[in-house]
Amino acid sequence: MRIDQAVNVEDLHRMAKRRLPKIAFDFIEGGLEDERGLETNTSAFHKHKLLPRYLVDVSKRDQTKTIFGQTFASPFGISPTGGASLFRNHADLMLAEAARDANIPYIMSGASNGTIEAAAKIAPKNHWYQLYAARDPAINADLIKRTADAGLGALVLTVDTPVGSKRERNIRNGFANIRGGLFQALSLKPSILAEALTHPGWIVEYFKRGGGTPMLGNWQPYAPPGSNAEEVYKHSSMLRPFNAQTWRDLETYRKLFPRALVVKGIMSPADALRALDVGCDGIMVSNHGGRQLDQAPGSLDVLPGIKAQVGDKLTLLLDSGVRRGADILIALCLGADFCFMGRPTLYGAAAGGLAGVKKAIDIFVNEIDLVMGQIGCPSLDQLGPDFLWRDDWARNA
Amino acid sequence: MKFDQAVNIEDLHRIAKRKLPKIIFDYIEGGVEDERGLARNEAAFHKHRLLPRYLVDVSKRDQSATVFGRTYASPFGISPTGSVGLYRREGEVMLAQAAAAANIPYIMSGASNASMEEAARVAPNNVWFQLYAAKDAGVTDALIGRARDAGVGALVLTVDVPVHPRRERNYRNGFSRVRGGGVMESLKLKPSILLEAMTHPAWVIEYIRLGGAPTLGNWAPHAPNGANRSDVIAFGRGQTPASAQTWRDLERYRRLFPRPLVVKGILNPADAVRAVEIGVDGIIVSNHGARQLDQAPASLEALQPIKAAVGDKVTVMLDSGVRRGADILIAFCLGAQFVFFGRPTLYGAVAGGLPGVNKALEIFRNEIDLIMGQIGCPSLDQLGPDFLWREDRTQNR
Repeated sequence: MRIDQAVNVEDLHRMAKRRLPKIAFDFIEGGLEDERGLETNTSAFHKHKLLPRYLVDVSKRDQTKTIFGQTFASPFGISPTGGASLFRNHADLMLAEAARDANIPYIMSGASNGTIEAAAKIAPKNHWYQLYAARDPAINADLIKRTADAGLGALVLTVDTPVGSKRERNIRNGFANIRGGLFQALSLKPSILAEALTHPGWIVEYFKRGGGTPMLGNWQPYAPPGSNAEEVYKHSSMLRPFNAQTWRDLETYRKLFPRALVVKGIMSPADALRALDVGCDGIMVSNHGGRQLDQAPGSLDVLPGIKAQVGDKLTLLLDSGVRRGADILIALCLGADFCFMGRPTLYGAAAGGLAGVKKAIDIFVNEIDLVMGQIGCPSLDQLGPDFLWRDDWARNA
Repeated sequence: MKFDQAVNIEDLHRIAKRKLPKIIFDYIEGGVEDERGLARNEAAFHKHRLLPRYLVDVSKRDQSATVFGRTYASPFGISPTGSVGLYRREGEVMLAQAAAAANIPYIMSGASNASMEEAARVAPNNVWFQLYAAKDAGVTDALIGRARDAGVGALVLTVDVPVHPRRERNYRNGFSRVRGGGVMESLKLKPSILLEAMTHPAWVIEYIRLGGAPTLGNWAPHAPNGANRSDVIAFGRGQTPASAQTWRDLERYRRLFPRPLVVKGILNPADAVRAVEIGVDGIIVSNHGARQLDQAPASLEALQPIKAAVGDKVTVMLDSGVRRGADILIAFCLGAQFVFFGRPTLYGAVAGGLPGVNKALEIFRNEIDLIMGQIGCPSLDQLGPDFLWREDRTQNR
């Protein structure tokens, strides 16, 4: 199947799976422990049903959405995903470019291979940065200053990685070995190496990039001068995760960053209130795509409780489990202002580079457009609980 | 198995599947997006259990039901299904004939290949017409005028197609080539699709012999002069969906059509109330056989709240997911006054032509008759919630 024949995100998923060695694909795909959280996330959306209204004029449908004072063409953006060059060279910059062209936000991962500054050049109005804080406050201050100086619209602090999680696929595959150089990669299990060789397109790209782990672009300035990609990775992994980080640190970041500050990974209403107290502009309800705590609730499941606590005082973003345009509309009905997704655009990038990312975005745009027409909702501000079917309706009627 | 050996609808389903090329069968069978709605529709019936009463005289059982002042031999009718001629030449005429013979209503689809006038000739007392409004109000009004003049028993406005949905099977198969064009257009299909079609030679020979897809009989008189078959199909396709259609248009249809006016596709109780206010005579609670919105509630779920909202002010009917006579009785217990199904008689038409349709109707008739006897209900007006098992009964006692 070619990229332009993909009908839905699942098609891109399958194409990405075919193109990537299992060891690389498993890194995208995996959760942690028993990976129940992956299913928790997607099934949280499937629990909901949309209740259409008909005989509404839907000949014009507007899916633009304004957050933090900026109007985007669609109510979704690209979540941060680390190490994306491992799946497609220069993937971060492709994501930025596709986001610019579609006029949606792209959140660059703190563990990206491209740099804040390079993406800002490509997508000055559509680029946000996701901060993985370091144990060294000077580095954090510098990363925040770079984000501010590059003119980015928002800083997104990820708080749900206080420890590295137990991602069992990666442990079994020996994924850590491809964080080292080419020679370390060759020390992988023969079965893993042999499987990788059945994906020659990827192998060629791997060698074109010079083999080994891709550079952590944003961390390079903090490593000793002249460090190669492996050394930068090692250096950064000594500085993260910053597990002594507390709400006091968030207060510091708030003082340092002049524009929209978002806390990503909030799952508890009490934490949401606290983020509000510190003066954050938004929170992203997220369980990191089911990659940090296998026992976490679905992000969609906790959304209504958080919305009830913070009301309109915070912009509510959501990710984790979004695979269809309808998922986004369901989240908006439940109080989200905006949605993000990480894997779908990665599938696109892995499967077809920039064209694949654009295809993934295009699929969501079209699905949203059709479902808006189908449920009788020509503009997003009309979405709310009235568009959701309530299972207790039959009993209460 | 031959169709006359069919024991139930599932048998006809299997025979039909064997007879049709996959690309054609998928059009009948498919839902939209992930096709969760198909299972949801059927599961909605399976959630209910019937509670029998015994020692009731059931030696005579009467399954006749009266709607709009007319008594039909059974409480069910044939839902509108488009392009039946593509599955079985003259399929719509067979559906009309079978409905007349069984004395049940047949709702001819607005997207049928035969015309409403032909159907009315064959089954003057049993044909209703389903309207897909055109973007051009003049065409819509002309269609209503024809329905009035042809003497059809009821006009059924389908409201749940405000946009063309994304039925992914059709998209992948390239179905529009088969439906829209001639034989040459169909030859552009993927080789795998063509090859599979060749394993169903009877259908292929018929398609070639008749020079491709059949015309859209109801649209043909309104297409520009000199339009060939493909032009008529393109015209009908281009005039729909009437995305700008609103309740104001329904008011106009009400003024134009002197006999019973039915709105089909309602799921929202508020929409049902609005339809009553405009003076429609009936509504069909339906989610279009799960072919429009994969996140929609099952029609049987929506039935109770709608019935609670409109009471007896309007005739409440239902389709989507009906595969057994018992399903029809369950819907009656929950407030439906008549029930329709689309796929079962299509399976019959494909499996055995007119006798196949007769067979499908006979299966339903016999199943209803047996279940009425089995639950101690000699006539349909006795059906109500008392015949349904309530899960909470155990707890509440």
